[in-house]
Amino acid sequence: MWQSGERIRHRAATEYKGKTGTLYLTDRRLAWVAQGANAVTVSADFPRIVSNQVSKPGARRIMLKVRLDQPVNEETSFTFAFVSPNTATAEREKFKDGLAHILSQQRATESAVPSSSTGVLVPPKSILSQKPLLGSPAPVPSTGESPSSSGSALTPKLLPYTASTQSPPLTRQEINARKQVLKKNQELADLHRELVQGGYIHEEEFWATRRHILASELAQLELRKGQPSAWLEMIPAQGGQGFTYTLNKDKMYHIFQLHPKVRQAYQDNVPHKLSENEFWKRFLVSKLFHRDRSSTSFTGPSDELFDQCLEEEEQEASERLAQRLELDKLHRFLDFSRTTEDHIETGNAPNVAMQPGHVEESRSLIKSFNRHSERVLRASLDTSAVTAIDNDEEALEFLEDLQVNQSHPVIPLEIANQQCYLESQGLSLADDSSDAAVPFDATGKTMGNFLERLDGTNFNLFDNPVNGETTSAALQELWSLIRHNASIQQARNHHTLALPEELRQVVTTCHVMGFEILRHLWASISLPLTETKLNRAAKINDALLLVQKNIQDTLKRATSESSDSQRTMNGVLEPLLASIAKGQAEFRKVNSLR
Amino acid sequence: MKFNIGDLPVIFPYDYIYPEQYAYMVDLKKSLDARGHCMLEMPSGTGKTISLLSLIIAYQQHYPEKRKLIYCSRTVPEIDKALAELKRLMAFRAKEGEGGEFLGLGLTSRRNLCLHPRVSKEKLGRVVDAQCRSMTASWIRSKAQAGQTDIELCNFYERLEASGELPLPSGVYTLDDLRDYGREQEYCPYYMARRALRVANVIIYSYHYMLDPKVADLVSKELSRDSIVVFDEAHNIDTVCIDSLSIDLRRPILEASTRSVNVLEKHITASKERDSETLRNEYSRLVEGLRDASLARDENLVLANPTLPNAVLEDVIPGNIRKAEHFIAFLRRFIEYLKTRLRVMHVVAETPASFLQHLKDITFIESRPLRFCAERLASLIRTLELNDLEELTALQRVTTFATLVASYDKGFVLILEPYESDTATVPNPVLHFTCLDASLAIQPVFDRFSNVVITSGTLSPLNMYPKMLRFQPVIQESYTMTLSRNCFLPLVVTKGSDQVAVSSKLEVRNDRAVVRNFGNLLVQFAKAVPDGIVAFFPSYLYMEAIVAMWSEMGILKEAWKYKLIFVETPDAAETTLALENYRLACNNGRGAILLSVARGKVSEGIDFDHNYGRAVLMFGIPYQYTESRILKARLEYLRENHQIRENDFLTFDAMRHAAQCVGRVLRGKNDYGLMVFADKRYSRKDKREKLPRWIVQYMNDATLNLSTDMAISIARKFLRTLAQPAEENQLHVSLWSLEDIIQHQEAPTAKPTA
Repeated sequence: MWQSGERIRHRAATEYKGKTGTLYLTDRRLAWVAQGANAVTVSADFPRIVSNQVSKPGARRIMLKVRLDQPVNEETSFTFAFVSPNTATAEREKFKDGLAHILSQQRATESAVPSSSTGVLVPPKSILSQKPLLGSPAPVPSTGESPSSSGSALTPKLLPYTASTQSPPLTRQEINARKQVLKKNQELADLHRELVQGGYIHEEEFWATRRHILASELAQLELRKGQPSAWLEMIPAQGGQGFTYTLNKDKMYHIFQLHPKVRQAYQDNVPHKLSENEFWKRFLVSKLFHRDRSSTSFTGPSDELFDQCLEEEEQEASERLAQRLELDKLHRFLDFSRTTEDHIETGNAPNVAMQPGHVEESRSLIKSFNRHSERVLRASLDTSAVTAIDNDEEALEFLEDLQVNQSHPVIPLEIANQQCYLESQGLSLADDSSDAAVPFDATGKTMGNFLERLDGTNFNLFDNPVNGETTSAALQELWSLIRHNASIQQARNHHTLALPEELRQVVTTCHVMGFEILRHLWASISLPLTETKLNRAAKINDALLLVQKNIQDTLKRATSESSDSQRTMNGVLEPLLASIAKGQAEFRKVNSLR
Repeated sequence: MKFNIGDLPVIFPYDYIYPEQYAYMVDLKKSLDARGHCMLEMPSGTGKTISLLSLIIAYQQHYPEKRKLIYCSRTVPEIDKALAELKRLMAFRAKEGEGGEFLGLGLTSRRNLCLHPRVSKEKLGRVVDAQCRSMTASWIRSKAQAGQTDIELCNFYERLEASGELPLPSGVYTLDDLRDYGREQEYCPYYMARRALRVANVIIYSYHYMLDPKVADLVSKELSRDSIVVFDEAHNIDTVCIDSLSIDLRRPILEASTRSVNVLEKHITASKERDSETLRNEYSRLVEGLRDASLARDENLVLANPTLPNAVLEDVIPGNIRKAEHFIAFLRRFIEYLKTRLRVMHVVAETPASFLQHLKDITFIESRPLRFCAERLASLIRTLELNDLEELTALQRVTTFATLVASYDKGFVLILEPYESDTATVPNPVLHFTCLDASLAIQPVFDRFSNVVITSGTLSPLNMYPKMLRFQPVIQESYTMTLSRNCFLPLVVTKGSDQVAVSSKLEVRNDRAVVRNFGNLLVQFAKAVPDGIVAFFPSYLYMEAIVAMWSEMGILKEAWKYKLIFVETPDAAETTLALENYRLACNNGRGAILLSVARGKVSEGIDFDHNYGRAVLMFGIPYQYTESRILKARLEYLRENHQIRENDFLTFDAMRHAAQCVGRVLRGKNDYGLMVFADKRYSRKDKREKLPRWIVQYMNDATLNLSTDMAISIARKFLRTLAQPAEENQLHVSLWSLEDIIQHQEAPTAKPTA
């Protein structure tokens, strides 16, 4: 009854349509064999399976439902009930996981191989669709214009992926990471849309050169985030009559975080006993709310609901404190009571200024500060680590530097130019953002520094009168090279370009796109050459042509601009055009060899 | 390392020594040789304790007298640390072949040492003391031995009693060791330590045990004359002295005293009915007078007790309080008088003499019987075999007051304040009996012991203490800090980024611009400084007010983004937890700000070393509350009797606390941190020169008048530089090897060469 080479992964006693039998999960299909039968009664090949569902935990019967895309035995779905007395749930879980894995694999391959039904891929409006660039706003996905209708013969098709080994299906985490990276980096997102969604480059290929970005994003995603420490500031707006507080979802969430008791009250009372509006209104005039605001001491009416919350909260806090003290694990050196109870109390009471807790309004505020900080801190800590504070940690005030052979494993921080780093950091006085942008004239400054350093060096070039001219000629050439390099560097630094915003964006896009495609071109015509690689190269070359055309268009259009920006545009795009030309020449050469 | 200072071989438990440690030892030895008192100011975090212990132990063990070391410190954690250092030193000495019989231990209250399963659960020292006494008092135990069965005795104490001689073997015992040993052997650690005091080579305890007459009488009375007494962290010693002789009386205390008197009366009647013999015996004993005590003091056996002045000892107890009933009536009259005094609704300040005169006019109580009050009560308690001493604490306070007020006519003042503050409307009268003269409490110590060492990280200006405490130091010295890299940076911030001057002066401290600038300073440092920041305020009042204002102005919102904020609270346990959390936050990289108060709990004895404090911000100058009448009386007294000008004292007092606060940031030369003084007045020379030399040494013109933004940029640069690994060029400069010492001894003026 099994196909040749078919392997059974899981089996379980089940009921199907009231009959008992055995459900099998093989490496090809899901199959059910009625008891005593010697042929498969129900069989669903994996590609037919669309989805699976399970009954809720705790339901009377433990069931698994499988949905198919085409009817098999005139059924589009099968429902199996697991009947093993003790192991039913565990068995069901095995099947569930197995199916889930298979489905996810299937989906991954589906996305790689275009399904025939989806037809021609429709890339959104893009540079490659030869639309005029100038004046086009941020790309809006449009279906109106497909490349085939643009009259170009260069309609790209999705190319088969050329990597030698099929990569494993993506995990949800990885997909998320890719999404996040694209979300954060607009340039990359544009590129992705143009090249991958446009069908020029395969998704995997696109990311192959950006593994480090993904890796760091993944690491970021996997970080367990602590609670934000932001303190809820509720500063009322002063209107015509009295104060107005504005509450939004964020603030409500914050309040719930701060006062779990209020969340409880909300769940208990809203909406059947109180309307949401009413609830918050009452909250805002309650004593509980005003406890955390310092400035005005509370004079409002008592509110049963929230006063109870307040009471419970206070009680809980003091209980927690008592519990903590009961544990008797206070840090030895921080426990003030050891000193205060060390001797009989003596002396005059401290004067007003030195009596703590004298300012009524801030007493509760200070308490809430400590509690809030503790909550934020403990949220990200293991509870076990919290109580186990090492008492002997600093029993000795040991002066390490008075001891020989103190071999600290020191890893020196590698900073290319330490002095420059330290000074520039020290100088950035007013910057409020922690990651200060690279200064605009960085390149200029670097050049200046370089020049200075050259000044100090004596090459003895001019000392020899005989070779004076050759020397200066050589120097001239050197300088022109340096300038040329600098200009290329500058061209890559799009922020520094003195261009109108619109133009600058276009130039940036051209650059990014051009270099990306070029990179793929060079990659695909690298040795050893294969047929598929050459086919790919041909497609990429097509894309390159489009970019080239675009650049030329842009340059043409730029003639309407001021002569300054025209010159800049030329200076910036010329090298790219040259590179493209070179790439194309190489491609032609390789292609002709075929 | 092992080296000689003069003829004294010193064993120092490290391979190198800081030059200032060496200098410190040399001076210490000089004063020990000269048998005189000395005052030494040593930068914080340069291993003061270990230098002190190394030298004194070497001295003690080298000479045949084996002079005992009594080391007094400020807080229990500091006692713990000193004991741990001593333990390590002795272990090192043993390794060097200098072992032998040696006993070193610490003493703290029953509350911290008790092992009794029920009593040790109590949190209050008073309660533990009372419950302990009710199980260990001699009359209780003799009753139990006589066969009474309903008496609970403490097993730990009984076992100790049964063990006979001191059961503690040679060694160094930290407080924990003492408890552990007690638990192991089932001996009471507290009484074991008390017993061991007589034979111990080193005793480490809180300076109350030496200065507070009520405690000193029990604990330190029999310590031998040639002991070496050290007061470590002694910058506040005058305050401790004054506190130990000052008493506050409030209505509840007087009420409680009345109740106690009634209880006593009942006991007396009961005792009379039972057996009139005991009271009669007591009477005849009192007729004999306090002859024994006087004899003992003549022979210099015991430390004089200021609450038991010499005049009392030479006298017999006056007839009118010799009989128990008479004494009760006498007390009642006195308490009633005090109650009427508290009803006066205006402020009264008077000298003890005028108080006594008034007392005599109204109640016919003379000063002579008053002087015997404390002693008479103690005798009565012993006679009546009372064990619940806790309910008598209020009465004991009143009798101590009576004795003190009748014994001293100079150096004390009585201040009656009907209201707690000027703005208060509900009367809460309090009678302050205030000691104005710090030398009264410490005088017996100076007189009795030939060597008293006063040392701390902040004693500047040094000439203030000899004046206030009335003693002549043979050596007074302040050491600077030799550093191969400037590991701390004092910054004086005088104005905000908006150029408005900042100051905690009363007139401007609540000015919104000043409050905002202080707030911005905190926020900016929260951004620039990694891990922990500690901020100190001049008073609780100001801290609480400014926190409320910051919160109202939304300034803290910004600070919350960068750090968690913890605040010192009125409740000690809560503050302890806040501190624990603060340290957790510093350790796990979250970073935190701790807001606390100079002179407060946190500023005394909690270290903020390494990542626990990369910056200390001192908001304002921590002047005392100048409206305080007690302070005013003290200032006047200082001016008239010690020739110390009011302003000099106030500034001195404020600056020592400021220095103490910022000094918390540094522990060892590997540590680094910022010290930020935020008040425009710090830039003035008269303020600055009252800071310790080792701090002033690193202040320069460039950092004396900064605005917030300038300070931040300097701080950033400092932190980035100091975060680099230290280069290993400290040797011969800020670290001396044995060769450096020898070279220095041969040619003291020559600079050590590499």
